[in-house]
Amino acid sequence: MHTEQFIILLVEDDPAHAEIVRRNFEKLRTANRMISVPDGQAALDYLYRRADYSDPVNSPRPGIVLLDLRLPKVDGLQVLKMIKEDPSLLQIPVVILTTSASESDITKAYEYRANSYLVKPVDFSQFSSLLDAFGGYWLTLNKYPQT
Amino acid sequence: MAESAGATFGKTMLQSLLGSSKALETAKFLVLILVFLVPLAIYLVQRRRAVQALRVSRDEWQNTFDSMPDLIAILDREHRIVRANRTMREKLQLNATALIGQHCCRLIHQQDTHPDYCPHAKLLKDGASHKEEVYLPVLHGDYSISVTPLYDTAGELTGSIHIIHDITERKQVADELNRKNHEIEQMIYSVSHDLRSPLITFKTFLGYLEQDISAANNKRIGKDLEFIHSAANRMEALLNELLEMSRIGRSILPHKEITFRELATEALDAVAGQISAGRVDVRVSDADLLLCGDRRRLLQIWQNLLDNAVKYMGDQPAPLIEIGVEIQPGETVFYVCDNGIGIAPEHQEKVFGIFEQLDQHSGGVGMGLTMVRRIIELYGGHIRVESAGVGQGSCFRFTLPDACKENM
Repeated sequence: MHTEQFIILLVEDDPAHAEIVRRNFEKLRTANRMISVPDGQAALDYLYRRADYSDPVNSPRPGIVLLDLRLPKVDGLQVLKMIKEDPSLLQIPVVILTTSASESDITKAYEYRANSYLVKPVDFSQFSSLLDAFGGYWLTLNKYPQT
Repeated sequence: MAESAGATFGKTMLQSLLGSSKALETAKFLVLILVFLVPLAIYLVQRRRAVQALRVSRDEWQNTFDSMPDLIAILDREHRIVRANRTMREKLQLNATALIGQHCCRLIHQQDTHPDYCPHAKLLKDGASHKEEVYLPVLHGDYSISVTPLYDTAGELTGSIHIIHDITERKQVADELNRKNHEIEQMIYSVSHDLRSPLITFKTFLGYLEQDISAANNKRIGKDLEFIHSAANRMEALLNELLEMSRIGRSILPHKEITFRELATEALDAVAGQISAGRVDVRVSDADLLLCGDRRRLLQIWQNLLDNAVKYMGDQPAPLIEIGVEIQPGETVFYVCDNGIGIAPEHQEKVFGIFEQLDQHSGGVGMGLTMVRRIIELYGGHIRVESAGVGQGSCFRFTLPDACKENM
């Protein structure tokens, strides 16, 4: 489906959780590349190709954003809002991946037009199968707009 | 002779009789006075007393009415003020003549018709008492307005007793309580979220560890253990700081006197290592002030702020931290300013939130400023951060009213 590398932008402040996501996507053997940024500011810098991410060769436009909510510098919900308010970015699906199952976070996320909301399970096998399901759907079945 | 003697006797008798008839008249007059005038006098005296008693009672009632701290008025059926107590006259800065006959809506609400919530309008409809809590701009505060119906002797509703009670202070306390509750909820949310994160790491990497052990993938086993270790360390740090936070309000050492400059020097000593490693220039203002409080807690304020200032210095070629106190009439403001990386305007409130970190590589768990704010609030103060934005340095300004003694 993807002729060139499909870019997943992971916005995750916990390096262990970023590692979990990376290991799971590695198994998928789809032609994807995960780029991980540690905070909301870095995510926006990446998307707008600012600061450390100003070189478009090293910062290709992501096909999907996997976004944690509680992030340093700029909050995840704020990042989501900014993506969905920008006509040049709003086509990129944003999937929330967070530990928070709070009703207010879920409502807010959809209000800001998140494309999906996933809660990180505490259990190992559940987390693995969640990421497998994510890969099977978003990285295999889902059709993306041409950019 | 006998005749003459008899005549004389008769004359005397007559005279005496005549005389006694005069006395009789007098007696009759006296009886008249006794019968009519004494009761009249008594009546008049009693009436005078009654009038006096009435006057005393009226004055007492008027004084009571006037000395009530609430604004009290009697309104007629047309929303017009019939009577108003002194509090009402004073609060509205109007004399009785200007008040009586005025429409309540115009006076209190500055509009021609009564507002929707108007309890008096509701009372006129159903004849029952009503109560409303509203903000009244003309009185600059929150008030509870209650109305009680008034009837004449024929049982006709004539209007109401309209009482405006100041609840501004209660409202402020309630608002403060709500704010605190919200803060606690926010904190519980953050804590449960932040404790969940390392737990996910434990369970997931234990799962990986099992897989990697059976596959004898030594390289991965090492990595897995590393992640588990750092998650455990983070959890430990989180719990320690939480415990420390909870202690701030509970354990307060006896208050002792200490000067601002003593505190600053001690706090600087505690972070001396980082300061010299970062080649940071520190300036302490000459102004000094005597403080009184829990020395250890007060010290934590400056220590945390200095620690932050050094931590967020960025690649500033001439790092500088300025600490001091500005003694102004009415308010004494302490400051810790730096020329480091600064804080974007949108993050300036966020930095005081629990577990908020501007940079997760900075170490610590993001409770320093939350702790600082908590200590400052214990001393009745407040803290705010000023920064023109990223790269512009930041300035933390705070007050400690309950710790400040007289100026030195």
